[in-house]
Amino acid sequence: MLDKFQESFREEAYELLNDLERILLILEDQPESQEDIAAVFRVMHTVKGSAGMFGFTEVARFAHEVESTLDAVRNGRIPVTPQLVSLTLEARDHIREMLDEPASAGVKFTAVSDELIERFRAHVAPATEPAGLGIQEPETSLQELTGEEENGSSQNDAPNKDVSQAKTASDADEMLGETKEHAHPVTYRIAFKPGESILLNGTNPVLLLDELAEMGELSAIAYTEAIPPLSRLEPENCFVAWDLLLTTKKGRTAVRDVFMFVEDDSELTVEIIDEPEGDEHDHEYRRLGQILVDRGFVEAGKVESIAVRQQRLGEMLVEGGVDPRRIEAALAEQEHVERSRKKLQNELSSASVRVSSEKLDDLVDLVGELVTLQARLMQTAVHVGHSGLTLVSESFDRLATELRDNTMSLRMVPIGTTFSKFKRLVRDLSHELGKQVEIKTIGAETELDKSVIDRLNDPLVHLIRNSMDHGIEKPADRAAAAKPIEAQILLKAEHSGATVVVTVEDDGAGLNRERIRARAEQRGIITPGQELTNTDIDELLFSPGFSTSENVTSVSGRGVGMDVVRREIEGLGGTVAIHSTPGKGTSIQLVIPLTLAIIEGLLVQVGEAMYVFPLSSVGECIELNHQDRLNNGKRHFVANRGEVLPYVVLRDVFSVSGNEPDIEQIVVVSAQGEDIGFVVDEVIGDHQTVIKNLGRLYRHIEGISGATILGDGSVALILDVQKLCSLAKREHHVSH
Amino acid sequence: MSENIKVLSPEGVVGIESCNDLRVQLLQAFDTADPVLLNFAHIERIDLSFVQLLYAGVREARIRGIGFRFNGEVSKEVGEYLVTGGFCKEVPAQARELENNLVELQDK
Repeated sequence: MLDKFQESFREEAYELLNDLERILLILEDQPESQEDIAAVFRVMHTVKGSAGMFGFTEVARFAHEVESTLDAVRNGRIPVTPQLVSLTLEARDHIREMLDEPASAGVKFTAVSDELIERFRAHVAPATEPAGLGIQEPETSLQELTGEEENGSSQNDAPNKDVSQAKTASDADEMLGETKEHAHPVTYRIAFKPGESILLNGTNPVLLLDELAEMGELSAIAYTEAIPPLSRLEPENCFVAWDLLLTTKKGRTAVRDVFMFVEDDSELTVEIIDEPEGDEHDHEYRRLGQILVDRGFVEAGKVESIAVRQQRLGEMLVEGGVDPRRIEAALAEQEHVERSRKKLQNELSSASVRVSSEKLDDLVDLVGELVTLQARLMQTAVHVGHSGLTLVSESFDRLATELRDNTMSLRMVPIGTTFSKFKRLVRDLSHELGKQVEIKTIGAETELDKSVIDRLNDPLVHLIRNSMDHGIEKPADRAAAAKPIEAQILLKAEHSGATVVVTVEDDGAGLNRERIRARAEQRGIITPGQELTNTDIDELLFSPGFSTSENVTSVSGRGVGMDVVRREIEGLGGTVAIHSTPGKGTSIQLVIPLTLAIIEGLLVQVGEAMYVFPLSSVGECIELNHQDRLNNGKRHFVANRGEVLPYVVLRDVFSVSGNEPDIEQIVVVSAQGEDIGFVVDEVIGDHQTVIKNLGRLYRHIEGISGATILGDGSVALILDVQKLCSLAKREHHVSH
Repeated sequence: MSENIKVLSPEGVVGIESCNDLRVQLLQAFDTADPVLLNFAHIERIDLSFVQLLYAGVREARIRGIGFRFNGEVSKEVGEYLVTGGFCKEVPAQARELENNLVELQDK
């Protein structure tokens, strides 16, 4: 069981490892980027340091070894190669696994750690040995970090003790304060005077400032008075110093880490000068005189003697011989802090809070109940015929709708959180398959209900794997086809009404329809010579167990894929469509509802039973004369807008008894790329549908996706339109 | 009387590798010409060596009473470098904006 400090470290480490993965993928494309090399080293250094502090000794031991290799990269002793990036990604995954299962870290993972460490050492050895350079130990030793003696306790212990160095809870709090992010931004004053030789060592100090600027709001005050006259200037030496004001949530360790490689040769102080605590940030910041005294630029007595003259203090101090640049720096500090406080104040007024998804689910359930009750109230008001009650009920209806929309929006998260995982997937598969593939994403900010996003991950993994394995050609084949060697996969998300369309598109070879047909014939899915359109052939891919792959690989070819994708997406109430052009590529479109909790529905009646169509799939409603239908016999078609519209009689599908009205209604829905009508007795109207799962007994009824409670307490079944269309086709209720 | 102008036009990346040569050229120019123009138009990127040279050059010119002018457009990278380093407050579009806006060199 982890204590709160260890939990806190683990959360932070997960974020660091995500950063590490992202930076490594960039570094693979830009191996010369010193900035990214430094960033990778810093992440590993921080993981090592914090892991040691909080008792994750195996993580610390392993990270220490990886850091040694990264140190060799940072010092230019070994280059960044694709192999090293792969190895470091493996190390990153290994650390993640150790963090996931801290209790077994000491036993289960040691062998893997050792094997990886050996590979890191082997990677460094050939590059360094000829020149007589071994791996140098990074600045901080493992023992320093874990607090263990050289001959002390085993490094493989699981974190079964409190924070290893922290003797008391307040010690641990202090440690966390150094490493952990602050709840609100704090302002640091950083005095940085680089060593004269910093430029010769290959460090560009302004890039360090750039890194600080990425952490928050930075004001830099440069001191240039030490630059010698032109005749004596040696431009390769550094004569500039800085006062830096940084407002950020980052902990002091993260700030200091920016200077990790130059700290030994530089003068550096990092102090917090302003730490607003939520609502305590509205008091006035320190006066100019106080800042100057604190910085040691002016004696307190001098400020007091000048202040009594009731003139502008800055001007008087200059007159009194204080360097104007120092006063300017103090004024910049005053201005920076006041600006940061104002910004914080604005942010706090629209501050966000983190709420567990379980609580949100509970809230959605309660809102669902409220919506149901509201429908009942509305019905009662109409029944009673009391105008006052009707008025209240209508107002309540408006509020309930607004509350429903707001509540649903709370569960919306950007799909980009899922998209970002696929960069790594594509990268790893590219290596495995010997293909060069770039993944591009569009619409990562598109929002979907969290529960939908969670269920979208596996289908997208299948689609990308298929695309990489079957769709995209080998580099030689692409070259022969006069295509760029590097293939592209586009992952796109966009809103379309009450749905989100997610597209996975590649510029590969497209579907090999001859091969699909041959394999389908071989498996007896179709009869030899059966007449099929291109769309029909493409649809064969969704047959259970279908695969054109000759060999089973770790990537695909097990025949578990497209049918699972369709099942998953249809389980979400969505659809899958495939478009392919030979030689140009394949595009797979997933149309998914925004949410699974409450939908806008169209309530209809058949006999005594009530049904709900998801409104997003309804195109229109048209009338149908019952007698005309009977006269048509088994030919279930009507003419609609100059087109032939096939229809299904819902009464027949669900075996509903009772009299049919003279004028029936056809609800026209779009499904699987076609319009299909469903004949019902009566269209009641739109209905806010709170989706309730069917019990275990009824869960597998085809054509029904759930149920909802109506205002009078009765139950209406929610129709699974996609499934009904498939059923109708299968059972010839609809025939073209 | 016509002015004895010298124009220096460094190109590409002007940093630790090339700044000493530029320093020598600048000193020679101050010895022989007035005003001396430093053209930023072909400078793509800079490092701290160049910034130090700039400051030392301005101070030297002031001591000698020589005109030291900047001209040409400032590349985005150069402008942002100067702002990040705290050497000027706003990204300059034209080099002449720098003449009076490099911090610690203003109003002198």
